[in-house]
Amino acid sequence: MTPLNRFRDLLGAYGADPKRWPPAERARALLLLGNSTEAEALRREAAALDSLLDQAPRPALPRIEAAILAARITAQPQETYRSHQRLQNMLWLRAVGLAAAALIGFVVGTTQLTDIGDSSASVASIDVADVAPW
Amino acid sequence: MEDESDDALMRRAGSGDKAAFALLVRRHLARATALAQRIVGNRSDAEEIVQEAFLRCWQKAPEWRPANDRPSAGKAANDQAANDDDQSEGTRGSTAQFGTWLYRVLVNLCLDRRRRPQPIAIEAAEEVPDTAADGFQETSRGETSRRVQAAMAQLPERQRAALALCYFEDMGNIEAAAALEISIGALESLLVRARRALREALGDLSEEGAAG
Repeated sequence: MTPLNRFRDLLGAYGADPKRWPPAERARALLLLGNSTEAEALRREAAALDSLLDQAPRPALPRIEAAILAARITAQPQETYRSHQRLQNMLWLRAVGLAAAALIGFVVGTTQLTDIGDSSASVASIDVADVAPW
Repeated sequence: MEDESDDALMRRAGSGDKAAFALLVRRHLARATALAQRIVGNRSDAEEIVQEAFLRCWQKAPEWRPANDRPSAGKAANDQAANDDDQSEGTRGSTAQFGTWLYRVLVNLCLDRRRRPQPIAIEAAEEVPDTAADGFQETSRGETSRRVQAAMAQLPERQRAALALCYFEDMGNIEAAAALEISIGALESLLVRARRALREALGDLSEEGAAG
């Protein structure tokens, strides 16, 4: 993008006052402004809109005093933190529960596999007719 | 404590220090109210939103860390900073980090206000009678002033928010983009469209001014 096009974009976004221009581009834009009649004309156009915007009504001051507002707010608990702590505690409990279940499952499974291994011979020797009622 | 940065005060607030939080409110209340009023267009909604924004600050204070202490927070600001050679303004200062966070919360509340549930359970402010219908100062009124306000009211909310942040609150582009959670390019696009629409709406006034 040529410097003049970028300058036009700068004015289009931020207006004519250099203090509103991005600091990184300010020096270059001012240099262009000092050397280009076209840039100066663009700046005047932007300044005309700025002067209208400067006549926008000013917002009224807040009707509540800062101290009163702060007192009301700080009367509320810092709930988010407590909820966060509760959530963390719940996650810990869940993790411990899962770990315990996994451990029990592993122990029980290992024990049963050992039992099956020990009794596999006797199981194999049982005839179906021995257990079938018909 | 008066000399402490916003970040330091916020850390204190996170430990339950009410005086530190009160100082933060005192520092930012007027600007936050003005910004919200510019975006939503009326004083009552703006005040309600500001109260909710500060309440969220108080509630989240224990978890709050400055942007440079947390990898994910302030991501938008950091992304934008990477696109900007000069980082001496915007999110660099310690004050700007809390400010960016506060104004991001505030802008989001303004933009989401139609979807927002009922207001927070804080007692209603003791209201001083509002002489202006929308809370803007009567003293600044005039035909031009009314026209400008009407033209701004016609802008889409995000364009109005961008203009309020960058033009009326003189916020740097990095901080403003972070408040809106958009890139700097997107911020500039909003600003360009907003100013173009205003120029079209107020063209006759602009010409009168130039002729005069």
